[in-house]
Amino acid sequence: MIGDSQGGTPPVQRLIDEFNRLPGIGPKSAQRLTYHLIRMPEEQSESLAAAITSMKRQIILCSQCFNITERDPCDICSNASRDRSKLCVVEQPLDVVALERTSTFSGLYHVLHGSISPINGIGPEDLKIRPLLERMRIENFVEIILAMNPNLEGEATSMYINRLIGDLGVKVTRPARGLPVGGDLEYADEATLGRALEGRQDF
Amino acid sequence: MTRNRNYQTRAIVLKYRPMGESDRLITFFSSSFGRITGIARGVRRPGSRLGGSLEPLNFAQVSLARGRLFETVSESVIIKSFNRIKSDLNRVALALYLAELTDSFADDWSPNQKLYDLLELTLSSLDKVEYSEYLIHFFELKLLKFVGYDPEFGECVECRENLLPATYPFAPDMGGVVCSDCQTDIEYYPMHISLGTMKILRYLQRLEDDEALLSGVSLPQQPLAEVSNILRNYLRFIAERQLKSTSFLDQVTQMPLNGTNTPL
Repeated sequence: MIGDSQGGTPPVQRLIDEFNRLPGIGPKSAQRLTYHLIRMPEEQSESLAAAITSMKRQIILCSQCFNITERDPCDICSNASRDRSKLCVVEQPLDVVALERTSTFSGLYHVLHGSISPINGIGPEDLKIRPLLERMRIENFVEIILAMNPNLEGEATSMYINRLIGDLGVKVTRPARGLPVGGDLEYADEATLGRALEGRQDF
Repeated sequence: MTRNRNYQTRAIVLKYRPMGESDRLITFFSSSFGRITGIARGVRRPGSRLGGSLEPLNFAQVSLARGRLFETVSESVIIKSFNRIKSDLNRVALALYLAELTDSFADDWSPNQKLYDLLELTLSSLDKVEYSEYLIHFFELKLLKFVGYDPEFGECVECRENLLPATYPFAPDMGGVVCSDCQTDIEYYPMHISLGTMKILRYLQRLEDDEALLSGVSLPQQPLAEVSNILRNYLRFIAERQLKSTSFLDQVTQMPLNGTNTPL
């Protein structure tokens, strides 16, 4: 019998429940993954389990940029060839990954770990804004790029930070807003299309 | 109101939260059905057809498909997007407070056309070049009226006698002011309303629309703090919780404008 004598959940169901908690994984996918693991050789499943535990043990936040890292300071902050006059502020560690993939930015980052969302009870004090101000006092940045998500909460966060740092005499910029590559003009909403027209460039 | 399998309504986006890989769960306040919660699939991907039109504070014509737990948003076209509000931090904080108030007091599948019109009118006024600081309190008082909690400032809530010009205690649990004859224990009342503030509250209650707030009579600035304090306490008592957006609103309005303060 799979059932348990100690009053806990049976191991198979327990794993299904754990998978089910992950983003994008519903009960059916959780079941499929679990049954895949049952058929898997033991060393492979142990290696997976070890990878998860060691990841959780070794990952820390960089004391400078607050990105997730194994070493403090992180690879980007400790890289001497990065441009130390530019700082790009982003919401999430995944945004750093996305920006790094473009290979067009060589400055430093600052991860806020969220955006201001008053209606969900997330205020400026819940984000890494204070450390950002500290950092700006210590280091000599020439340009701050506010690369928040182009939605209301991201904009509110940008405006809030801009109001805080506006008098420090640093150039504050943000990425251009416009049409996505590979998109259809007719499906662009008014806000995006309007911004795209405002920010048009010489051909 | 019954709804078809697929239907359309005018609605304002009150809030959203991420769901799954790239979806969002969106809370609307609609003119025909009251509060509705719907899933917008794929909106977090750039290039999504729905994306930009389903931002909070947007008024849109939305097409929805009936669902078991939540509706599915199939299409959405912006009617008004209030760009001036969205490019000014103070106005964003105020508008999000209005959205949270509406979200707290509106009911699912229960249309409230007056509240819907009020929200549209107030946001439109907040989107103009100038707005009165009393606009928010006008909204708060009208909202209370439209959801059935209109506070009484004209007569004593206990004996219904008209009040003489003086300072009176305000009892949130009774929904109004109490005259000196009916006051049981003076320490029982946490708030008092001075005469000047009471006059303003009555005036705001009588206003039909908010036009008069900008044109015509100019209201004194001095009672603003007291008006704000009384209404906020009363709203908190009725909602039975502290509204989350108030702390950000206070933070932003008290922030010095020493930055460039240009819309980013």
